[in-house]
Amino acid sequence: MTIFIIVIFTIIFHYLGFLKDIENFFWGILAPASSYIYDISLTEGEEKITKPFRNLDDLKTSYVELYYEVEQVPVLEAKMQELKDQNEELRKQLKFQNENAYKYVNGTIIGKTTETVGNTVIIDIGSVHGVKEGNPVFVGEGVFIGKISRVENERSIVRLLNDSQSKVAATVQNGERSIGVVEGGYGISINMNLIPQNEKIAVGDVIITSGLEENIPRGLIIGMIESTEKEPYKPFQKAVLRSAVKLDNIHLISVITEI
Amino acid sequence: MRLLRNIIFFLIGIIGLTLANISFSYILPFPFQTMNFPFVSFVLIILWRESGIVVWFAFFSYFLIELFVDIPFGILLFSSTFAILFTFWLYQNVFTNKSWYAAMILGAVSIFLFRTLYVGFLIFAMLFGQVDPSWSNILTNILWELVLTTGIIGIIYPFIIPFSHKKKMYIQ
Repeated sequence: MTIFIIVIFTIIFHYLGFLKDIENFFWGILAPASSYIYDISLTEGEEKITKPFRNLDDLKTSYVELYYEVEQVPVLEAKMQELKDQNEELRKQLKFQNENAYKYVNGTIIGKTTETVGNTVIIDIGSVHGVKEGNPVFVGEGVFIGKISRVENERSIVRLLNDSQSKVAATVQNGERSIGVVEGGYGISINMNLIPQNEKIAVGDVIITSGLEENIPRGLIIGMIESTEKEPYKPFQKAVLRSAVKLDNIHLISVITEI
Repeated sequence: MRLLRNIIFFLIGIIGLTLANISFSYILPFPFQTMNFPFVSFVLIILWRESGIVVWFAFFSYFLIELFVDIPFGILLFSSTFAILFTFWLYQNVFTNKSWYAAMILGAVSIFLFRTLYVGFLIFAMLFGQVDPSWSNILTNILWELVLTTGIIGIIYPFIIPFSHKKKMYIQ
């Protein structure tokens, strides 16, 4: 009975915000570790280098030292590659930010959510950085990846494009500027629905955000049409999209806080 | 001093368990990532220590794990705490046999109960538009979780049984 009361009160206190300090304290401990583990999960295995060979005994000590030094090279190379990628990504984001007058906050993905209900990731920026629910999240030169679905003080959850609850107003970059709604397909696909039947869309057409939705500017790239589905008896046609980036391999993001 | 030491061990335990859970989830490939490491630990602690402290351990661990999920707060906390509370009761009153298959059944029942409560609350949350889960994905993952978690408990259990309290009592 005691545990029942404690669980109920913990849940109530959470929603009333009384546990924020405790949660932030533990988050402060767990977030760096989560970020480190997430980085490891993104890093591909490195090839192990071959062992240099020396056959003189008096050079044994030097050999061992050299061996350990050489062993560090792939690690350093991997770190350098990671920094190079991050630098390139930041340059792209900076270029996009300089070209547009929106207000942004830059952040890092520090982990995935551990339950399999949706396709969401955790980022290290929250309400103290000006992030609000519904804000669009992008990478590189304006590639839209999802929207903020939950905000805490110093972290937020991003609902990725391919999540089943994800919906965003979009436009096809064809002659007719067809509009529709891009929706996630349970983590495995991205579809654009509600495209008027009489409009021409083709494989390869680029899809961008339409700007018809509050807080989401026009022109963020969503992806490209991979296939189309058109039934003569239906009022709308549908397109299956390919995201412009690999949604499961993202590290640096930006959130548009004001347009 | 002893109390302080116990509190420090307890904190290290719940943080370690949370990080292990995250690591398995991020790094392991499917279906191994579905293995429920916290429940493996809880069931083995029940079998090893035979102490009700495991219910508090489950409560505080899932309080931290809740920080890494996108479903409404409380679903995991409530489901896990009560599943472990019931598992502990089952161990004391029903599965008193010390065989490895009893340990595996105990593990399977605890996961089954945990996920039954979890799915029940998810349906409730869905009615209020809080979540829109893919049920086929969830059911596939739960089945894998049941098989792998039970399997791991069955593999590890023979190594911890010589150290369990009841076994020591029988030997004496």
